[in-house]
Amino acid sequence: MLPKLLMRDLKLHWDSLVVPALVLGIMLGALVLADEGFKLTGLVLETSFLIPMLPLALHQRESGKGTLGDLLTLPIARRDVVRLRYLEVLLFSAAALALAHVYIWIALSLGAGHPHPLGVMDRNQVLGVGILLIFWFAYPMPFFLRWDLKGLAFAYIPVLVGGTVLKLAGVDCHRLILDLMERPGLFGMGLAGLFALSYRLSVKVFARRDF
Amino acid sequence: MANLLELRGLSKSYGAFALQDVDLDVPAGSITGLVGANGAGKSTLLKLVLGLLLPDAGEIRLFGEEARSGGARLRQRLGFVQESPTLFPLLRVPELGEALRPFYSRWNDATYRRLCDAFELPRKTAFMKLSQGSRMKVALALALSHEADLLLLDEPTSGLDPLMRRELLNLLLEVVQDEGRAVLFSTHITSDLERVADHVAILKAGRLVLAGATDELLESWALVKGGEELLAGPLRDRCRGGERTELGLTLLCEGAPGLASLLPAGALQERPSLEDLVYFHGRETESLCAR
Repeated sequence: MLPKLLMRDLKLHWDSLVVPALVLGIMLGALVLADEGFKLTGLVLETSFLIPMLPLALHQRESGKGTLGDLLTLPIARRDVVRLRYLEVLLFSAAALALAHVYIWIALSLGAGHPHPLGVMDRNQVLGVGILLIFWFAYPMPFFLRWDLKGLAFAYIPVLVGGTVLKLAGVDCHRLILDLMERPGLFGMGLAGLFALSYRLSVKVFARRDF
Repeated sequence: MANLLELRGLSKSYGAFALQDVDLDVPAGSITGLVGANGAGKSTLLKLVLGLLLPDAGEIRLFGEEARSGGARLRQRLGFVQESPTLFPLLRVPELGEALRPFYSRWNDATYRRLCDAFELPRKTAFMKLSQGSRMKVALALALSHEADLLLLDEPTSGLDPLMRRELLNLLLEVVQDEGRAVLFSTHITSDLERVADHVAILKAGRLVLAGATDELLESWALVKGGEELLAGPLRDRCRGGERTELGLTLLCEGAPGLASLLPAGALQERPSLEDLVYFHGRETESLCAR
């Protein structure tokens, strides 16, 4: 069922996917050419910062245009719709990262930019991509599926407030995360666990929602 | 005749609106019309059947099975057309069929092509550029092409011109020639129902106030017109609604066959239309009817 739903999404939303893909392409190109001292590996994170929002945008588009109702009257389970969004974020992220690496490879071949001393994609960058996936997709997704755009506010306002309070209290969250990343295996498992938890919550809230 | 859809005690409330305790059967081989004013609960009821809304109470049985547990499998046998179809806006008519085909095990390309030809649908125009009538036809062609056993149509005729409305109603009659299929369609255009519906269900403010075979309903109710003397006699016990105007009283009374003997001199008894049933039922009951 998921390949069918993915094909449906690509057919229905190709116009909204083409634009971000072009923007991403232009942005990556510009980043490569812009700054002599620019570290190419930064591209990877730049890319992964944008992509997790795409499945949310597609879902919001369906909701806004009224095609979500059509989708849910198809002979599919609601769980499949949630699964589709989680699959999409992984596929789109993988595609964008692959694109970023193609840029890096081209740029290095042309003698432009500077690779990161530890390699194109070091351990922390892999974990960093995971953090972005969690922060921009997995964390807000259950809120978003329950309350649409309002859900994003419900998800991020407490984070902003909490982050500010912690900052005022002198807690360095950035440092804290970097310290946690010193144990990459455990950290990676934690991220995977959060992703799985988010999926389960999303399935539950979406199943109980009226449309 | 088996029921393709059975609703028992179905209730749903949200905001200020509540659909309350609805019992309804849709037998195979029949067209059932769901009629009521705007906001009566017609779309809510259809959305509940489709699973878009979750009931607060009650049971929905589709094809003899509990709808929720059957889920996606049962929706293979459902076709849904809404008042303003919102399909893939950029796709053209043939591409719409291709987009939906993978989801339905009983999809029939030949049927889709035949219906598109019969409806004279343009093949090279994007769905979003089609007229309201053509959009409705596309949605209907899609619903019929996966050979749905139960068609749910939400106000399918409201945006159509009279010619197209007649075509659509004829098509629904063709659909139920197959004894295994049925149509449940909502409308506030009661003349459409009188033309094709075997059964009608009348919703008012979220309550199912009348339901049954169309002819039987129309035969068993009567409109009685006269002066204030209508309220003095036994008619008042049979009154279920009515209206007081400058010209006199109009009462909607049940038990039409035996009513003539109860009429005071000068009173007129008429067979109501469906519109009369919808309009008068429950109207001014406190002042006109015995409680």
